[in-house]
Amino acid sequence: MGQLRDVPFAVGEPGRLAAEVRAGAPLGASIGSDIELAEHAIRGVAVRAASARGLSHRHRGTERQDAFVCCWDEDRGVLLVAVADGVGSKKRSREASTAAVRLAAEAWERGNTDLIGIVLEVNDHLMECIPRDERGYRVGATTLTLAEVPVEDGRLGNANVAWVGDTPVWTLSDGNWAEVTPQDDAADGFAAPISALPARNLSVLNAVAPTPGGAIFVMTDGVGNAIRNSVEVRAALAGWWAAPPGIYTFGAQVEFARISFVDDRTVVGIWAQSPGEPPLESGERREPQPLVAEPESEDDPEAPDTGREGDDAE
Amino acid sequence: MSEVVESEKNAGERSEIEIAEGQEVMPFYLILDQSGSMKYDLETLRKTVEQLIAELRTDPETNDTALLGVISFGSSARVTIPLSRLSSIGTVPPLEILGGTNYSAAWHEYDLAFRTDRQAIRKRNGQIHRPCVFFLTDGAPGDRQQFRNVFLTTQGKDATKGWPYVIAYGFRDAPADVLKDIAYPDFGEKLGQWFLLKDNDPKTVIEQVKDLIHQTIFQATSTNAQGQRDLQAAQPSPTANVVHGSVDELIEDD
Repeated sequence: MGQLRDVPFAVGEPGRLAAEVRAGAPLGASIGSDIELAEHAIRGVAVRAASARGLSHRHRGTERQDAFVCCWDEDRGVLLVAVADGVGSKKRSREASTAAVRLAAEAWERGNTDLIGIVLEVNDHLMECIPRDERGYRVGATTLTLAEVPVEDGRLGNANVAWVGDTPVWTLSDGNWAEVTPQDDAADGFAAPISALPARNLSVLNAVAPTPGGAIFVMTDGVGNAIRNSVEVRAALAGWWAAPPGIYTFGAQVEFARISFVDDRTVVGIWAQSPGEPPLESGERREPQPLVAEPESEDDPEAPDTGREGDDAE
Repeated sequence: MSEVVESEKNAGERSEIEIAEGQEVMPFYLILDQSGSMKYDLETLRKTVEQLIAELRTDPETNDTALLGVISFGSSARVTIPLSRLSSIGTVPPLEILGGTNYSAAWHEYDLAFRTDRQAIRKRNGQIHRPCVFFLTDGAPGDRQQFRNVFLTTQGKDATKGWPYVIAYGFRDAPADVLKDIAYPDFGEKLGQWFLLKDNDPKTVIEQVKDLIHQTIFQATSTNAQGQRDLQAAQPSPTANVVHGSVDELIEDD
């Protein structure tokens, strides 16, 4: 029996799974780590990236299926973020998601800047390399979202986004969240089949996201659904991510506990420099943010119940 | 029809469902045949439902995402346990004989219950997965010519985007062709499944159904991640005395 995991952040009711799930045995050499972190500083802009194996996968002893890659083009002054979410019902979706972000990054680094074309190229490759099972279904599948963000003097230009599936892009400005990648509401709230690669006649969606200050986030639905569904989550994350946190804090915040949100979590956040703030040098970090998102007012009964799990017991 | 009218008076009276704001939930309903022929099985059925709930609660992920409700039917139908968190369900109340076997009454009651539950879940911004109904019966319905149409006009894919997966379990006098007509959907990759349990001992049969339902719910909640539930009706062991199939295949009941 392993030790209980340390879950330092919760938003509202954490759920029993967050409290009870334990670390298990290693899954194998090809599986990769439970948690992946990256931080970058580019021309005054801060980047934090974290991907964490979801509680459900930890509980069932299955692998993290999210993947991300960040690339930088110094000549063009453009950052590419690729995030993919392997389809959970297929056993080899981790291979699909990790291949998708790697192939997309490689195509982009070769000079292809047509994001839709890159997604279609990745799709063609996955069509060839992901086999089918005995019933004829692919053994792996993945969403893929690519966001190309111009960066200059601490500012973010309009982001060009191409995507397949439900891996969203959100902007955060003055505490307000806005979704760049609208979801299909045709299912009327009921889970609809998710578009994913590889697929014949793939439809790739495209949008341009204005980023007036603030930050832009490319994330998997493990966090995106929580932001979309919950006012409490939006308030907590807006507080935590008003400025770039330290990378370890960011990783722990991406893993915040909330009942029923147990999927893998990946977030790549890109923060413009705040007005009047000196630009970050490469490797420099802002002051750490408080570990607990404070309610706006102690007297406000509507204030979100956010904070560090177990604070009461300490 | 009078039961339906009576039930509709209560539409929307349900207090809030105890879920967190924005919580993702998977609704499961048991629809239980409590017609006269079940008279000597009802206490076994009650205890078995209690045991099912207790077993499901032991898994924290299932406990966090599954909601369960119980609907009883005979000539009329009623909600025995409103859709609830597993951890909120106490003892299962005594199950009573409700007359003949009228599937239409069961579907009308389910329709009303689900619409009310869906409204309550949405009030909390809850995200609802497609419901799954486990339908248990031991006999042929008195409304053989009507019930399928009642289902399709209230719950079919052309009637509602919230159409349910329906898994039918039958024993004793339940005909296979009737079970096939209960199962849903009749389109897509995951066709509705039906099971005819042929053991003579009702206790054994009810225990077998409980195990199949348990496995099905457990499997569904364990694949909640990625926003899509992989709902697959659990299959009986090869040695079990069970005839089964999907809506597009009917094995003659010999």
